[in-house]
Amino acid sequence: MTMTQEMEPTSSTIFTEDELNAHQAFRHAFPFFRNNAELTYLDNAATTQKPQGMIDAIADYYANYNANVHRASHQVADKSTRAYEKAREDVRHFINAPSSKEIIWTKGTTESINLVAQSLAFSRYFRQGDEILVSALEHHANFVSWQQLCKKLKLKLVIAPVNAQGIDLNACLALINNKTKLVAISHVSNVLGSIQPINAIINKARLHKALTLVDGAQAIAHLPVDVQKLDCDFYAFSAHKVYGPTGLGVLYGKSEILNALTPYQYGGEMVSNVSTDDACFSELPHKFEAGTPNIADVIGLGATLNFIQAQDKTALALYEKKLYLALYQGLASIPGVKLQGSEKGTSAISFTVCDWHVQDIAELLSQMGFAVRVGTHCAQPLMQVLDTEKGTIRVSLCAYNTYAEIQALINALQSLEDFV
Amino acid sequence: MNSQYHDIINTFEQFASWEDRYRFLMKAGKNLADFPDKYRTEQNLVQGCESQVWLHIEISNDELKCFADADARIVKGLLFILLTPLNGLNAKQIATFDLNGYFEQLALIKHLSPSRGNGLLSIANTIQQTAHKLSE
Repeated sequence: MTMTQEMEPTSSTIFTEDELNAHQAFRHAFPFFRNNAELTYLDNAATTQKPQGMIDAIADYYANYNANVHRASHQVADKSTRAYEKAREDVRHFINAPSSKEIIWTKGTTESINLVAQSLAFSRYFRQGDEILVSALEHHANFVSWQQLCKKLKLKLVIAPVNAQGIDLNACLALINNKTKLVAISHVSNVLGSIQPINAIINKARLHKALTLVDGAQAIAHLPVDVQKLDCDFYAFSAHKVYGPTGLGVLYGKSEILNALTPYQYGGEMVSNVSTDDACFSELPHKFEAGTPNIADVIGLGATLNFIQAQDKTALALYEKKLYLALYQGLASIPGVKLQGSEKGTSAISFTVCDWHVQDIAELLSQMGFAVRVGTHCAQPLMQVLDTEKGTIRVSLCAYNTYAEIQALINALQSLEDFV
Repeated sequence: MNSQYHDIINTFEQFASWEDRYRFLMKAGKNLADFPDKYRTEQNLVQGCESQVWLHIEISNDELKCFADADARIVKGLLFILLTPLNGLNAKQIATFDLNGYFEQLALIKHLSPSRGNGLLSIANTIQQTAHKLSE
Protein backbone atom coordinates (compact mmCIF):
# COMPACT_ATOMS: atom_id res chain seq x y z
CA MET A 1 0.00 0.00 0.00
CA THR A 2 1.35 3.41 -0.91
CA MET A 3 1.35 6.40 1.41
CA THR A 4 -1.43 8.17 -0.47
CA GLN A 5 -3.72 5.17 -0.18
CA GLU A 6 -3.03 4.93 3.53
CA MET A 7 -3.78 8.61 3.98
CA GLU A 8 -6.98 8.54 1.94
CA PRO A 9 -9.59 10.03 4.29
CA THR A 10 -12.53 7.90 5.33
CA SER A 11 -15.75 8.68 7.11
CA SER A 12 -14.23 7.60 10.44
CA THR A 13 -11.10 9.75 10.08
CA ILE A 14 -13.00 12.87 9.04
CA PHE A 15 -15.83 12.82 11.58
CA THR A 16 -15.84 12.23 15.32
CA GLU A 17 -17.94 9.43 16.73
CA ASP A 18 -20.45 11.96 18.09
CA GLU A 19 -20.79 13.58 14.69
CA LEU A 20 -21.31 10.24 12.94
CA ASN A 21 -23.85 9.13 15.53
CA ALA A 22 -25.78 12.38 15.22
CA HIS A 23 -25.75 12.06 11.42
CA GLN A 24 -26.89 8.44 11.46
CA ALA A 25 -29.76 9.10 13.87
CA PHE A 26 -30.80 12.08 11.75
CA ARG A 27 -30.70 10.24 8.41
CA HIS A 28 -32.62 7.32 9.87
CA ALA A 29 -35.61 9.60 10.55
CA PHE A 30 -36.14 10.26 6.81
CA PRO A 31 -38.05 7.44 5.05
CA PHE A 32 -37.18 8.89 1.63
CA PHE A 33 -33.70 7.37 1.80
CA ARG A 34 -34.96 3.87 2.55
CA ASN A 35 -37.47 4.19 -0.30
CA ASN A 36 -34.91 5.50 -2.82
CA ALA A 37 -31.85 3.41 -2.15
CA GLU A 38 -30.55 3.90 -5.71
CA LEU A 39 -30.74 7.69 -5.58
CA THR A 40 -28.19 10.18 -4.25
CA TYR A 41 -30.17 13.24 -3.29
CA LEU A 42 -28.03 16.38 -3.46
CA ASP A 43 -30.68 18.95 -4.36
CA ASN A 44 -31.43 20.15 -0.85
CA ALA A 45 -31.32 23.84 -1.73
CA ALA A 46 -34.39 23.19 -3.88
CA THR A 47 -36.19 21.25 -1.18
CA THR A 48 -35.21 19.07 1.76
CA GLN A 49 -36.56 15.61 2.56
CA LYS A 50 -39.13 15.11 5.31
CA PRO A 51 -38.79 13.33 8.66
CA GLN A 52 -41.30 10.62 9.56
CA GLY A 53 -42.49 12.73 12.49
CA MET A 54 -43.71 15.46 10.13
CA ILE A 55 -45.49 12.97 7.88
CA ASP A 56 -47.16 11.35 10.91
CA ALA A 57 -48.23 14.69 12.40
CA ILE A 58 -49.98 15.74 9.18
CA ALA A 59 -51.73 12.37 8.82
CA ASP A 60 -52.70 12.47 12.51
CA TYR A 61 -54.26 15.92 12.13
CA TYR A 62 -56.36 14.92 9.12
CA ALA A 63 -57.31 11.53 10.58
CA ASN A 64 -58.10 12.63 14.12
CA TYR A 65 -58.75 16.33 14.66
CA ASN A 66 -59.34 18.10 11.35
CA ALA A 67 -61.29 21.30 12.13
CA ASN A 68 -60.95 24.91 11.06
CA VAL A 69 -59.00 27.04 13.51
CA HIS A 70 -60.15 30.11 15.49
CA ARG A 71 -63.71 29.76 14.28
CA ALA A 72 -65.66 27.43 16.49
CA SER A 73 -66.05 26.65 20.14
CA HIS A 74 -66.44 22.91 19.59
CA GLN A 75 -63.87 20.54 21.04
CA VAL A 76 -62.13 19.44 17.84
CA ALA A 77 -61.61 23.05 16.76
CA ASP A 78 -60.18 23.74 20.17
CA LYS A 79 -57.64 20.95 19.69
CA SER A 80 -56.68 21.97 16.14
CA THR A 81 -56.35 25.63 17.18
CA ARG A 82 -54.10 24.73 20.07
CA ALA A 83 -51.84 22.56 17.88
CA TYR A 84 -51.80 25.28 15.22
CA GLU A 85 -50.85 28.04 17.67
CA LYS A 86 -48.32 25.77 19.41
CA ALA A 87 -46.48 25.51 16.06
CA ARG A 88 -46.33 29.30 15.89
CA GLU A 89 -44.70 29.25 19.32
CA ASP A 90 -42.28 26.54 18.06
CA VAL A 91 -41.22 28.81 15.18
CA ARG A 92 -40.86 31.78 17.55
CA HIS A 93 -38.55 29.68 19.71
CA PHE A 94 -36.62 28.34 16.68
CA ILE A 95 -35.62 31.83 15.47
CA ASN A 96 -35.70 33.44 18.94
CA ALA A 97 -38.35 36.02 18.09
CA PRO A 98 -39.59 38.05 21.08
CA SER A 99 -43.26 37.17 20.53
CA SER A 100 -45.27 34.58 18.59
CA LYS A 101 -47.47 37.48 17.39
CA GLU A 102 -44.55 38.39 15.16
CA ILE A 103 -44.72 35.05 13.32
CA ILE A 104 -46.97 35.25 10.26
CA TRP A 105 -47.84 32.21 8.15
CA THR A 106 -47.47 32.59 4.41
CA LYS A 107 -47.18 30.06 1.60
CA GLY A 108 -43.41 30.44 1.28
CA THR A 109 -40.46 32.82 1.27
CA THR A 110 -41.72 34.34 -1.97
CA GLU A 111 -45.08 35.24 -0.46
CA SER A 112 -43.41 36.51 2.72
CA ILE A 113 -41.33 38.96 0.67
CA ASN A 114 -44.29 39.97 -1.48
CA LEU A 115 -46.38 40.51 1.66
CA VAL A 116 -43.83 43.01 2.95
CA ALA A 117 -43.49 44.72 -0.44
CA GLN A 118 -47.24 45.06 -1.01
CA SER A 119 -48.08 46.03 2.58
CA LEU A 120 -45.41 48.73 2.56
CA ALA A 121 -46.87 50.02 -0.70
CA PHE A 122 -50.44 49.94 0.70
CA SER A 123 -49.19 51.79 3.77
CA ARG A 124 -47.65 54.51 1.59
CA TYR A 125 -44.28 53.96 3.21
CA PHE A 126 -42.31 54.93 0.10
CA ARG A 127 -42.08 58.28 -1.65
CA GLN A 128 -41.09 58.81 -5.23
CA GLY A 129 -37.28 58.81 -5.53
CA ASP A 130 -36.70 56.65 -2.43
CA GLU A 131 -34.18 53.83 -2.78
CA ILE A 132 -34.45 50.11 -2.20
CA LEU A 133 -31.17 48.23 -1.93
CA VAL A 134 -30.81 44.59 -2.99
CA SER A 135 -27.75 42.66 -4.12
CA ALA A 136 -26.94 41.14 -7.48
CA LEU A 137 -26.97 37.62 -6.02
CA GLU A 138 -30.56 37.64 -4.84
CA HIS A 139 -32.96 34.88 -5.78
CA HIS A 140 -35.60 36.29 -8.15
CA ALA A 141 -38.10 36.24 -5.25
CA ASN A 142 -36.04 38.89 -3.46
CA PHE A 143 -35.16 40.74 -6.63
CA VAL A 144 -38.12 40.90 -8.99
CA SER A 145 -40.53 41.73 -6.11
CA TRP A 146 -38.57 44.92 -5.39
CA GLN A 147 -37.75 45.68 -9.02
CA GLN A 148 -41.44 45.67 -9.92
CA LEU A 149 -42.38 47.72 -6.84
CA CYS A 150 -39.75 50.30 -7.83
CA LYS A 151 -41.17 50.50 -11.33
CA LYS A 152 -44.70 50.95 -10.03
CA LEU A 153 -43.90 53.55 -7.37
CA LYS A 154 -41.05 55.29 -9.25
CA LEU A 155 -38.45 54.27 -6.67
CA LYS A 156 -34.82 53.60 -7.40
CA LEU A 157 -33.63 49.99 -7.23
CA VAL A 158 -30.00 50.06 -6.11
CA ILE A 159 -28.06 46.83 -6.67
CA ALA A 160 -25.07 46.02 -4.48
CA PRO A 161 -22.30 44.43 -6.55
CA VAL A 162 -21.15 40.86 -5.96
CA ASN A 163 -18.12 38.77 -6.83
CA ALA A 164 -17.61 35.01 -6.95
CA GLN A 165 -17.52 34.93 -3.12
CA GLY A 166 -20.71 36.88 -2.48
CA ILE A 167 -21.73 40.46 -1.76
CA ASP A 168 -18.93 43.04 -1.95
CA LEU A 169 -19.44 44.42 1.57
CA ASN A 170 -17.63 47.74 1.26
CA ALA A 171 -19.37 48.55 -1.99
CA CYS A 172 -22.69 47.54 -0.46
CA LEU A 173 -22.22 49.69 2.66
CA ALA A 174 -21.27 52.67 0.51
CA LEU A 175 -24.64 52.43 -1.25
CA ILE A 176 -26.66 52.84 1.96
CA ASN A 177 -27.65 56.47 2.61
CA ASN A 178 -30.55 58.56 3.86
CA LYS A 179 -32.53 57.90 0.69
CA THR A 180 -32.36 54.14 1.35
CA LYS A 181 -35.73 53.12 2.75
CA LEU A 182 -35.35 49.36 2.63
CA VAL A 183 -32.50 46.87 2.35
CA ALA A 184 -33.44 43.33 1.20
CA ILE A 185 -30.57 40.83 1.35
CA SER A 186 -30.29 37.06 1.48
CA HIS A 187 -28.63 35.39 4.45
CA VAL A 188 -27.06 32.63 2.32
CA SER A 189 -26.71 32.65 -1.47
CA ASN A 190 -28.78 29.90 -3.13
CA VAL A 191 -26.13 29.58 -5.86
CA LEU A 192 -22.79 30.05 -4.10
CA GLY A 193 -23.74 28.81 -0.65
CA SER A 194 -21.82 31.78 0.74
CA ILE A 195 -22.93 33.36 4.00
CA GLN A 196 -23.55 37.06 3.45
CA PRO A 197 -22.23 39.77 5.79
CA ILE A 198 -25.74 40.70 6.87
CA ASN A 199 -24.82 41.96 10.36
CA ALA A 200 -22.76 44.83 8.99
CA ILE A 201 -25.39 45.62 6.35
CA ILE A 202 -28.24 45.63 8.88
CA ASN A 203 -26.25 47.89 11.24
CA LYS A 204 -25.52 50.43 8.53
CA ALA A 205 -29.14 50.33 7.34
CA ARG A 206 -30.35 51.04 10.87
CA LEU A 207 -28.08 54.11 11.13
CA HIS A 208 -29.94 55.49 8.13
CA LYS A 209 -33.36 54.39 9.45
CA ALA A 210 -33.90 51.99 6.53
CA LEU A 211 -35.98 48.87 7.05
CA THR A 212 -34.17 45.54 6.67
CA LEU A 213 -35.49 42.28 5.26
CA VAL A 214 -33.45 39.09 5.29
CA ASP A 215 -34.28 36.28 2.84
CA GLY A 216 -33.45 33.29 5.01
CA ALA A 217 -34.60 30.54 2.63
CA GLN A 218 -31.13 28.99 2.27
CA ALA A 219 -29.99 29.67 5.83
CA ILE A 220 -32.80 28.29 7.96
CA ALA A 221 -31.76 24.61 7.72
CA HIS A 222 -28.04 25.27 8.02
CA LEU A 223 -27.31 28.18 10.36
CA PRO A 224 -28.62 29.08 13.80
CA VAL A 225 -30.98 32.02 13.21
CA ASP A 226 -31.55 34.53 16.00
CA VAL A 227 -33.65 37.44 14.77
CA GLN A 228 -33.03 39.45 17.95
CA LYS A 229 -29.28 39.21 17.53
CA LEU A 230 -29.56 40.03 13.83
CA ASP A 231 -31.93 42.87 14.73
CA CYS A 232 -33.47 42.77 11.25
CA ASP A 233 -37.00 44.11 10.77
CA PHE A 234 -38.17 41.14 8.69
CA TYR A 235 -36.91 37.58 8.23
CA ALA A 236 -38.49 35.28 5.64
CA PHE A 237 -38.15 31.54 5.07
CA SER A 238 -39.95 28.49 3.66
CA ALA A 239 -40.92 25.47 5.73
CA HIS A 240 -40.00 23.00 3.00
CA LYS A 241 -36.34 24.06 3.04
CA VAL A 242 -36.03 23.19 6.72
CA TYR A 243 -37.37 19.60 6.47
CA GLY A 244 -40.98 20.84 6.74
CA PRO A 245 -43.94 20.71 4.35
CA THR A 246 -44.26 22.55 1.03
CA GLY A 247 -46.76 25.38 0.63
CA LEU A 248 -45.94 27.00 3.95
CA GLY A 249 -43.68 29.91 4.78
CA VAL A 250 -42.91 32.21 7.65
CA LEU A 251 -42.56 35.95 7.87
CA TYR A 252 -41.07 37.27 11.06
CA GLY A 253 -41.55 41.01 11.52
CA LYS A 254 -40.96 43.35 14.43
CA SER A 255 -44.35 43.99 16.05
CA GLU A 256 -44.08 47.78 16.04
CA ILE A 257 -43.59 47.69 12.27
CA LEU A 258 -46.20 45.03 11.57
CA ASN A 259 -48.72 46.93 13.72
CA ALA A 260 -48.20 50.06 11.63
CA LEU A 261 -48.62 48.26 8.30
CA THR A 262 -51.84 47.96 6.33
CA PRO A 263 -52.51 44.40 5.15
CA TYR A 264 -52.80 43.81 1.41
CA GLN A 265 -55.05 40.74 1.47
CA TYR A 266 -58.54 40.84 2.93
CA GLY A 267 -61.10 38.24 3.94
CA GLY A 268 -62.11 36.04 6.83
CA GLU A 269 -59.97 35.49 9.95
CA MET A 270 -58.27 38.88 9.66
CA VAL A 271 -61.12 41.23 10.63
CA SER A 272 -62.57 41.93 14.07
CA ASN A 273 -65.53 44.10 13.04
CA VAL A 274 -67.14 44.65 9.67
CA SER A 275 -69.87 47.11 8.72
CA THR A 276 -71.08 47.96 5.23
CA ASP A 277 -68.78 51.00 5.25
CA ASP A 278 -65.58 49.80 6.90
CA ALA A 279 -63.75 47.02 8.70
CA CYS A 280 -61.48 46.79 11.73
CA PHE A 281 -58.56 44.45 11.32
CA SER A 282 -57.64 41.83 13.87
CA GLU A 283 -54.60 42.03 16.08
CA LEU A 284 -51.27 40.54 15.05
CA PRO A 285 -50.55 38.07 13.61
CA HIS A 286 -54.05 37.41 12.24
CA LYS A 287 -54.44 40.67 10.35
CA PHE A 288 -51.96 39.37 7.76
CA GLU A 289 -53.53 35.91 7.52
CA ALA A 290 -56.69 36.30 5.46
CA GLY A 291 -58.70 33.14 4.85
CA THR A 292 -58.41 29.61 6.18
CA PRO A 293 -54.74 28.94 6.76
CA ASN A 294 -52.67 25.88 5.83
CA ILE A 295 -53.48 24.18 9.16
CA ALA A 296 -52.10 20.71 8.42
CA ASP A 297 -48.75 21.97 7.20
CA VAL A 298 -48.42 24.41 10.10
CA ILE A 299 -48.86 21.46 12.45
CA GLY A 300 -46.40 19.50 10.30
CA LEU A 301 -43.81 22.26 10.61
CA GLY A 302 -44.27 22.28 14.38
CA ALA A 303 -43.52 18.55 14.47
CA THR A 304 -40.48 19.09 12.22
CA LEU A 305 -39.02 21.80 14.44
CA ASN A 306 -39.56 19.67 17.56
CA PHE A 307 -37.73 16.85 15.79
CA ILE A 308 -34.80 19.16 14.91
CA GLN A 309 -34.61 20.52 18.46
CA ALA A 310 -34.33 16.95 19.76
CA GLN A 311 -31.21 16.26 17.62
CA ASP A 312 -27.62 16.84 18.68
CA LYS A 313 -27.59 20.12 16.74
CA THR A 314 -23.97 20.99 17.52
CA ALA A 315 -22.66 17.64 16.26
CA LEU A 316 -24.91 17.81 13.18
CA ALA A 317 -23.67 21.30 12.31
CA LEU A 318 -20.04 20.18 12.62
CA TYR A 319 -20.77 17.09 10.54
CA GLU A 320 -22.39 19.16 7.80
CA LYS A 321 -19.53 21.65 7.79
CA LYS A 322 -16.94 18.87 7.36
CA LEU A 323 -19.03 17.21 4.66
CA TYR A 324 -19.20 20.53 2.79
CA LEU A 325 -15.44 20.91 3.02
CA ALA A 326 -14.94 17.36 1.70
CA LEU A 327 -17.29 18.14 -1.20
CA TYR A 328 -15.52 21.41 -1.95
CA GLN A 329 -12.06 19.82 -1.89
CA GLY A 330 -13.24 16.80 -3.88
CA LEU A 331 -14.69 19.01 -6.62
CA ALA A 332 -11.61 21.24 -6.60
CA SER A 333 -9.41 18.18 -7.23
CA ILE A 334 -11.15 17.35 -10.53
CA PRO A 335 -9.34 18.74 -13.59
CA GLY A 336 -11.46 21.24 -15.50
CA VAL A 337 -13.89 21.95 -12.66
CA LYS A 338 -14.38 25.66 -12.03
CA LEU A 339 -15.86 26.27 -8.59
CA GLN A 340 -17.83 29.35 -7.60
CA GLY A 341 -17.96 30.50 -3.99
CA SER A 342 -15.56 29.28 -1.34
CA GLU A 343 -15.00 26.45 1.12
CA LYS A 344 -16.49 28.66 3.84
CA GLY A 345 -19.97 28.34 2.35
CA THR A 346 -22.88 26.32 3.60
CA SER A 347 -24.80 23.51 1.87
CA ALA A 348 -24.70 24.68 -1.77
CA ILE A 349 -21.78 24.70 -4.20
CA SER A 350 -21.95 25.76 -7.84
CA PHE A 351 -19.51 24.81 -10.57
CA THR A 352 -18.98 24.44 -14.26
CA VAL A 353 -16.68 22.04 -16.12
CA CYS A 354 -14.35 23.19 -18.89
CA ASP A 355 -15.60 22.19 -22.40
CA TRP A 356 -18.84 20.80 -20.99
CA HIS A 357 -22.34 22.18 -21.25
CA VAL A 358 -23.93 21.98 -17.78
CA GLN A 359 -27.02 20.39 -19.32
CA ASP A 360 -24.99 17.41 -20.55
CA ILE A 361 -23.42 16.90 -17.12
CA ALA A 362 -26.81 17.08 -15.44
CA GLU A 363 -28.25 14.55 -17.89
CA LEU A 364 -25.43 12.05 -17.31
CA LEU A 365 -25.48 12.55 -13.53
CA SER A 366 -29.22 11.95 -13.56
CA GLN A 367 -28.67 8.68 -15.46
CA MET A 368 -26.15 7.70 -12.79
CA GLY A 369 -28.69 8.31 -10.04
CA PHE A 370 -27.68 11.73 -8.75
CA ALA A 371 -30.20 14.45 -8.04
CA VAL A 372 -28.43 17.78 -8.54
CA ARG A 373 -29.64 21.04 -10.01
CA VAL A 374 -28.61 22.59 -13.29
CA GLY A 375 -29.48 26.01 -14.63
CA THR A 376 -29.52 29.60 -13.52
CA HIS A 377 -31.15 28.86 -10.13
CA CYS A 378 -33.60 31.79 -10.31
CA ALA A 379 -30.59 34.12 -10.03
CA GLN A 380 -29.94 35.37 -13.56
CA PRO A 381 -28.34 38.69 -12.47
CA LEU A 382 -25.72 36.66 -10.57
CA MET A 383 -25.12 34.37 -13.58
CA GLN A 384 -24.24 37.47 -15.60
CA VAL A 385 -21.68 38.53 -12.97
CA LEU A 386 -20.15 35.04 -12.82
CA ASP A 387 -20.10 34.85 -16.62
CA THR A 388 -22.02 31.57 -16.47
CA GLU A 389 -25.09 32.52 -18.49
CA LYS A 390 -25.64 28.88 -19.46
CA GLY A 391 -25.96 28.19 -15.75
CA THR A 392 -24.07 26.06 -13.28
CA ILE A 393 -24.35 22.65 -11.69
CA ARG A 394 -25.44 23.13 -8.11
CA VAL A 395 -24.82 20.45 -5.50
CA SER A 396 -26.46 21.11 -2.14
CA LEU A 397 -26.15 18.88 0.90
CA CYS A 398 -27.66 18.44 4.33
CA ALA A 399 -26.52 16.69 7.49
CA TYR A 400 -28.30 13.52 6.32
CA ASN A 401 -26.02 13.14 3.30
CA THR A 402 -23.10 10.74 3.64
CA TYR A 403 -19.41 10.93 2.85
CA ALA A 404 -19.87 7.91 0.56
CA GLU A 405 -22.42 9.90 -1.47
CA ILE A 406 -19.95 12.76 -1.88
CA GLN A 407 -17.22 10.34 -2.98
CA ALA A 408 -19.62 8.70 -5.45
CA LEU A 409 -20.39 12.11 -6.96
CA ILE A 410 -16.71 12.95 -7.32
CA ASN A 411 -16.11 9.57 -8.99
CA ALA A 412 -19.06 10.12 -11.30
CA LEU A 413 -17.73 13.52 -12.37
CA GLN A 414 -14.33 11.98 -13.00
CA SER A 415 -15.94 9.35 -15.24
CA LEU A 416 -17.56 11.96 -17.50
CA GLU A 417 -14.59 11.77 -19.87
CA ASP A 418 -15.70 8.22 -20.75
CA PHE A 419 -18.64 9.70 -22.62
CA VAL A 420 -16.67 11.99 -24.91
CA MET B 1 -37.06 5.08 -44.97
CA ASN B 2 -33.55 6.42 -45.44
CA SER B 3 -30.42 4.45 -44.61
CA GLN B 4 -29.38 6.65 -41.67
CA TYR B 5 -32.68 5.77 -39.99
CA HIS B 6 -31.98 2.05 -40.35
CA ASP B 7 -28.44 2.62 -39.08
CA ILE B 8 -29.83 4.23 -35.92
CA ILE B 9 -32.26 1.35 -35.29
CA ASN B 10 -29.56 -1.28 -35.92
CA THR B 11 -26.98 0.52 -33.77
CA PHE B 12 -29.34 0.92 -30.84
CA GLU B 13 -30.31 -2.75 -31.02
CA GLN B 14 -26.71 -3.59 -30.15
CA PHE B 15 -26.51 -1.24 -27.17
CA ALA B 16 -26.60 -3.14 -23.90
CA SER B 17 -26.53 -0.26 -21.46
CA TRP B 18 -27.58 3.35 -21.00
CA GLU B 19 -23.89 4.26 -21.12
CA ASP B 20 -23.69 3.00 -24.73
CA ARG B 21 -26.80 4.96 -25.73
CA TYR B 22 -25.47 8.15 -24.15
CA ARG B 23 -22.00 7.80 -25.70
CA PHE B 24 -23.81 7.64 -29.04
CA LEU B 25 -26.00 10.65 -28.22
CA MET B 26 -22.98 12.71 -27.12
CA LYS B 27 -21.43 12.28 -30.60
CA ALA B 28 -24.50 11.95 -32.85
CA GLY B 29 -25.20 15.68 -33.02
CA LYS B 30 -22.20 16.11 -35.31
CA ASN B 31 -24.22 14.37 -38.04
CA LEU B 32 -26.98 16.99 -37.97
CA ALA B 33 -27.21 19.08 -41.11
CA ASP B 34 -25.53 22.46 -40.59
CA PHE B 35 -27.88 25.00 -39.10
CA PRO B 36 -27.82 28.11 -41.34
CA ASP B 37 -26.80 31.23 -39.43
CA LYS B 38 -29.67 33.23 -40.91
CA TYR B 39 -32.07 30.97 -39.02
CA ARG B 40 -30.36 31.50 -35.66
CA THR B 41 -32.94 34.07 -34.58
CA GLU B 42 -34.78 34.88 -31.36
CA GLN B 43 -37.97 33.66 -33.06
CA ASN B 44 -36.48 30.23 -33.77
CA LEU B 45 -35.24 29.78 -30.21
CA VAL B 46 -37.35 27.07 -28.58
CA GLN B 47 -39.00 28.18 -25.32
CA GLY B 48 -38.67 26.18 -22.13
CA CYS B 49 -35.31 24.58 -22.77
CA GLU B 50 -32.51 24.45 -20.21
CA SER B 51 -30.04 24.69 -23.09
CA GLN B 52 -30.34 26.82 -26.22
CA VAL B 53 -32.26 25.01 -28.93
CA TRP B 54 -33.20 26.36 -32.34
CA LEU B 55 -35.74 25.02 -34.82
CA HIS B 56 -36.52 26.29 -38.28
CA ILE B 57 -38.89 24.67 -40.76
CA GLU B 58 -38.51 25.48 -44.47
CA ILE B 59 -41.70 24.96 -46.41
CA SER B 60 -41.97 24.63 -50.18
CA ASN B 61 -45.09 23.18 -51.83
CA ASP B 62 -46.05 20.27 -49.59
CA GLU B 63 -42.49 19.54 -48.55
CA LEU B 64 -40.97 20.60 -45.28
CA LYS B 65 -37.35 20.63 -44.37
CA CYS B 66 -36.38 20.88 -40.69
CA PHE B 67 -33.24 22.48 -39.36
CA ALA B 68 -32.36 22.21 -35.68
CA ASP B 69 -29.42 22.96 -33.46
CA ALA B 70 -28.55 22.95 -29.76
CA ASP B 71 -25.59 24.11 -27.70
CA ALA B 72 -25.70 21.03 -25.45
CA ARG B 73 -24.38 17.80 -26.94
CA ILE B 74 -26.98 15.29 -25.73
CA VAL B 75 -29.88 17.46 -26.87
CA LYS B 76 -28.15 17.91 -30.22
CA GLY B 77 -27.79 14.14 -30.47
CA LEU B 78 -31.47 13.74 -29.68
CA LEU B 79 -32.33 16.26 -32.40
CA PHE B 80 -30.37 14.14 -34.88
CA ILE B 81 -32.32 11.06 -33.73
CA LEU B 82 -35.59 12.98 -34.07
CA LEU B 83 -35.00 14.50 -37.51
CA THR B 84 -33.34 11.53 -39.24
CA PRO B 85 -36.42 9.40 -39.99
CA LEU B 86 -38.36 12.49 -41.14
CA ASN B 87 -35.83 13.35 -43.85
CA GLY B 88 -37.30 12.68 -47.28
CA LEU B 89 -40.84 12.08 -46.05
CA ASN B 90 -43.74 14.14 -47.40
CA ALA B 91 -45.91 16.26 -45.10
CA LYS B 92 -48.57 13.62 -44.63
CA GLN B 93 -46.00 10.94 -43.77
CA ILE B 94 -44.31 13.25 -41.24
CA ALA B 95 -47.63 14.13 -39.64
CA THR B 96 -48.46 10.48 -39.07
CA PHE B 97 -44.99 9.14 -38.24
CA ASP B 98 -45.07 7.27 -34.93
CA LEU B 99 -42.36 9.19 -33.04
CA ASN B 100 -43.39 7.69 -29.71
CA GLY B 101 -43.00 4.15 -31.03
CA TYR B 102 -39.62 5.09 -32.52
CA PHE B 103 -38.27 6.64 -29.30
CA GLU B 104 -39.72 3.71 -27.34
CA GLN B 105 -37.78 1.30 -29.59
CA LEU B 106 -34.55 3.22 -28.87
CA ALA B 107 -35.26 3.27 -25.11
CA LEU B 108 -35.20 7.07 -25.26
CA ILE B 109 -38.92 7.60 -24.68
CA LYS B 110 -38.42 9.56 -21.46
CA HIS B 111 -36.94 12.37 -23.53
CA LEU B 112 -40.38 12.90 -25.05
CA SER B 113 -42.02 13.28 -21.65
CA PRO B 114 -43.53 16.69 -20.87
CA SER B 115 -41.43 17.03 -17.71
CA ARG B 116 -38.13 17.11 -19.58
CA GLY B 117 -36.49 20.48 -19.85
CA ASN B 118 -34.92 19.83 -23.25
CA GLY B 119 -37.87 20.90 -25.37
CA LEU B 120 -37.70 17.81 -27.58
CA LEU B 121 -41.42 17.15 -27.17
CA SER B 122 -42.33 20.69 -28.14
CA ILE B 123 -40.08 20.44 -31.21
CA ALA B 124 -41.63 17.12 -32.21
CA ASN B 125 -45.12 18.59 -31.77
CA THR B 126 -44.29 21.74 -33.76
CA ILE B 127 -42.93 19.70 -36.67
CA GLN B 128 -45.87 17.28 -36.77
CA GLN B 129 -48.46 20.05 -36.39
CA THR B 130 -46.86 22.04 -39.23
CA ALA B 131 -46.81 18.90 -41.39
CA HIS B 132 -50.43 18.18 -40.49
CA LYS B 133 -51.60 21.67 -41.55
CA LEU B 134 -49.65 21.38 -44.77
CA SER B 135 -51.14 18.02 -45.71
CA GLU B 136 -54.76 19.06 -45.10
